[in-house]
Amino acid sequence: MNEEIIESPRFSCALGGALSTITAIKDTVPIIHAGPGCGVQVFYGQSFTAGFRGSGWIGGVSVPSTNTYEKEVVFGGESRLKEQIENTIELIDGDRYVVLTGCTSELIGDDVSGILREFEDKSIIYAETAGFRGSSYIGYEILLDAFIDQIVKEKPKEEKLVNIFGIIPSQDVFWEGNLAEIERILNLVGLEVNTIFNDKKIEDLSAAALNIVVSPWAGVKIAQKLKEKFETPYIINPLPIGVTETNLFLKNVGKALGIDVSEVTAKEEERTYKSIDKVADFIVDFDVQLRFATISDSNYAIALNKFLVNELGWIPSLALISDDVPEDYRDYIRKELNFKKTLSPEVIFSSDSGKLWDALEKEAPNFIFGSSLDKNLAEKIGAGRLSVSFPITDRIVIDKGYAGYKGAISLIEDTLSEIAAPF
Amino acid sequence: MVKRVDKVYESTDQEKVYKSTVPVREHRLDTTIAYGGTASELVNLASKKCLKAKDRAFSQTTFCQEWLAMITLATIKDTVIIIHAPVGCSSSLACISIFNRFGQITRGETPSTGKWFSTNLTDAEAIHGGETKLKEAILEADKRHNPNAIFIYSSCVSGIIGEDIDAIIRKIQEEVSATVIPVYCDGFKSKVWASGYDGSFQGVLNHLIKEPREKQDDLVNIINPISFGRVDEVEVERLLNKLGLRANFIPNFATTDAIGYSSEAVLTTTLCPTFSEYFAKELKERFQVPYAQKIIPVGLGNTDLWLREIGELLNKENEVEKVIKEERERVEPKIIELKEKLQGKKVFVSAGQSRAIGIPNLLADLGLEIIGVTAYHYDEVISDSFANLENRCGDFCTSVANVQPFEQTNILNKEQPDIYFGHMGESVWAAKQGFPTAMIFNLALLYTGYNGVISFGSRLLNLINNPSFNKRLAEHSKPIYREAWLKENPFKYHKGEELE
Repeated sequence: MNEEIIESPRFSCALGGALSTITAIKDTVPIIHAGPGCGVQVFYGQSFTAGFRGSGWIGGVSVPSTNTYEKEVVFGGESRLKEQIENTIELIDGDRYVVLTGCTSELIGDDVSGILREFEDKSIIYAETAGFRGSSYIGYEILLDAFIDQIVKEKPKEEKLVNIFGIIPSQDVFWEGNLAEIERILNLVGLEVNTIFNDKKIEDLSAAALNIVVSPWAGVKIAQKLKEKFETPYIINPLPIGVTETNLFLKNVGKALGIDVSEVTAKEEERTYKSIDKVADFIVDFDVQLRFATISDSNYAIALNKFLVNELGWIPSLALISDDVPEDYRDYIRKELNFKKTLSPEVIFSSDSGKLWDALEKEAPNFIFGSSLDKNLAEKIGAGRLSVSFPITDRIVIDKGYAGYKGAISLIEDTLSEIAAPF
Repeated sequence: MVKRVDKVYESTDQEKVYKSTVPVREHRLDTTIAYGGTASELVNLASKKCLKAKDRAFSQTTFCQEWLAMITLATIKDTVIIIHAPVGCSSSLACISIFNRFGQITRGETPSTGKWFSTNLTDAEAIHGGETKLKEAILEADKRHNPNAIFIYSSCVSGIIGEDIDAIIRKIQEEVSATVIPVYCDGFKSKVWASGYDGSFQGVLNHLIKEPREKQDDLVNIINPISFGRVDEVEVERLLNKLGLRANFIPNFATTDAIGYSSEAVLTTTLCPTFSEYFAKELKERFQVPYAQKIIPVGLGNTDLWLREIGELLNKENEVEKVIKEERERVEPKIIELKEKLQGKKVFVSAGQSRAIGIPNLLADLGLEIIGVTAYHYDEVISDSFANLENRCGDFCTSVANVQPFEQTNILNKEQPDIYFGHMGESVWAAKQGFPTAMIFNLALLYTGYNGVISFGSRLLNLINNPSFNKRLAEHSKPIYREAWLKENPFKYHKGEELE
């Protein structure tokens, strides 16, 4: 982990990522064991700032939380946690309860697993998600790791079942739409999909024939762990946007599972280009070929640059990557962003928006795919802009996605709408 | 039990040396966050200092004082915030930025997103301390933005590891041109998030407020929380202008100079006594600026009181009475009209303690029947005005809760109001129960003064006219709590606390 100071961070902490993930899983009740404000801080700072994602069934200010104060910091918070778990179960009927520890309880060293042993109810698990452990991406990995350790047991493999990892609710603002499209296209080639956010169960993660990590790094550890524990093979295929990349995604999955996907890819390709044809006049008549930059996490950097360069014919300038990518994965990401010489963006890794804005200002691209934090900079250099990466506070996002075939059409619509907006 | 409340300064022979910290409100003001019963009982018990409950055996997440400290200082011009914490503790600034940008737009400015840094404390610093990173953040903030002031926020982690932020600032201050200001707001240290206002204002008082150049006898400081829109300011400014007074709105959307020379004002008043409580008292203590902060200027009677308090302190009683008479006469026909349409509707209000006085009074002005009030906390800041409200509206169901929607769901199910009035983040749960809901602070809507009663009343007509969104939403919302909970005493989980 790159431990720099960060101006205007583009992610929350481990607790933020874990909580936004749990509140996306059906009938799962989070119990925060931390200071009073952690739940609200990451609701407003991780979910609400993701295109105004709402509280859902048990998010927002409804999340059970021990709200530990000075007394617990001095004397320990274990009895408070025990009381909170008992009363949460008494009040709320969930399929599963997940204790998420925060900075205070981890610093004072509360023995959470010891407390949980006192409960016979096996539906209570915990994850150590103190904010100082890292970003939202790390929190997602810690949570899934806890699921695998505490819930997932060996099961017979189902040859048509695959798991999807790497798309983090809210941190990927378009997570729901992206997952829906990935599930749709995998269904088309005859596969069932466990995203853990759909009607499939976490217990069944071990039954999959293949794990697909739809991200260059976040979730890879999870796939590795499942391989070690249950011998499930995995592939890493960052978010596909557009025909070329989505065809390739399906081919990669097909290759891993011995499925012929060519009929599906041909059909989807034809349908997608029928849609793209509708904006051909706009693009050609208004000469829409821009020099763009991305300021996003590594997953979107790869996805956007590949689509915009290879399919939309735009000119890349900078791929500014803000997700604090662990060192080991950076070469792979650089490689993914290395197209032909005149069409490769300069890649900069930094979570510090100030540094990224400096680079943008020097480069002065025509169009920025970034977050709502980049408004001032875009105005300063007179660039067009679309919010696609976290945080997004200037758009409402419900279930729109940018992944796959359908997502590409949405991305074209939204991008060109920004260009048409002043008309 | 006698509580020891530390002084906020140390005296030497020559001068008072102010500390960077302020005792939290539960110690300084005996503030409570847990009560359930009736209004009259609360008034009675509180007056005898007999409120037993200290907290809950089941609780839901809430705001910590750091959050409130962020919204206190995040919109001041030419300043930078540094959150000395793990990265998550600065997350909400991206959300607060919405209010900042909107506030600038409504003030006719080109919106600029605020500037903030996280020192991004990780496990290493959670053990060894984060001095190096804090220094680096201060230097970078100064270099990148050349601000007038840099606010350094403490956090749970910096507090638990015992980081001496004052000492770090002393070491680095001379290397930067900005004034570096500590804001102590460790989340775990107070159950009362409003303590975060005090920590913020302590930093402002110690480092930003200057000695007056000369007193300005028509300048009135108006302390403005971020939850009041520009429209609210315009209304009270209009009233002050009628008295020949000028308004200096601080700290939100103000320059550091406007804050710095608030010491020159003839008076400090407020849009929210809960927010201004410590700041206004200390402006008087340190700079001899008297204050009027008995009441929030929301509702007709409250606005009368708000003006009268100013009139008394500035010897403008007659002018104030004239303004009150004029204004009352002007709005009366419209109020009668609104009353005819709203009369008798049963309403429930949940709000921060000052709005929990303002909104019910405003609604009572419109003939609505107050059946219940939840205040986020309770102490002497509202004890008189709450007693007056109880006196005016009769004995209504009352609770004190630092949000806690599980109690609210239970109470609303029993009380069945026609309209629910609540706070951001909380109202949605009443909406999911199917009750028509109105926000108690919508930055685009006017609530203050005489015009506020008309503005808010008119908004309610739409709500009554078409409550279908919440109705439809409720039909499709899965309840969170087991059915048995709705039959229980809503305050079942209140508990006392032996160790204080």
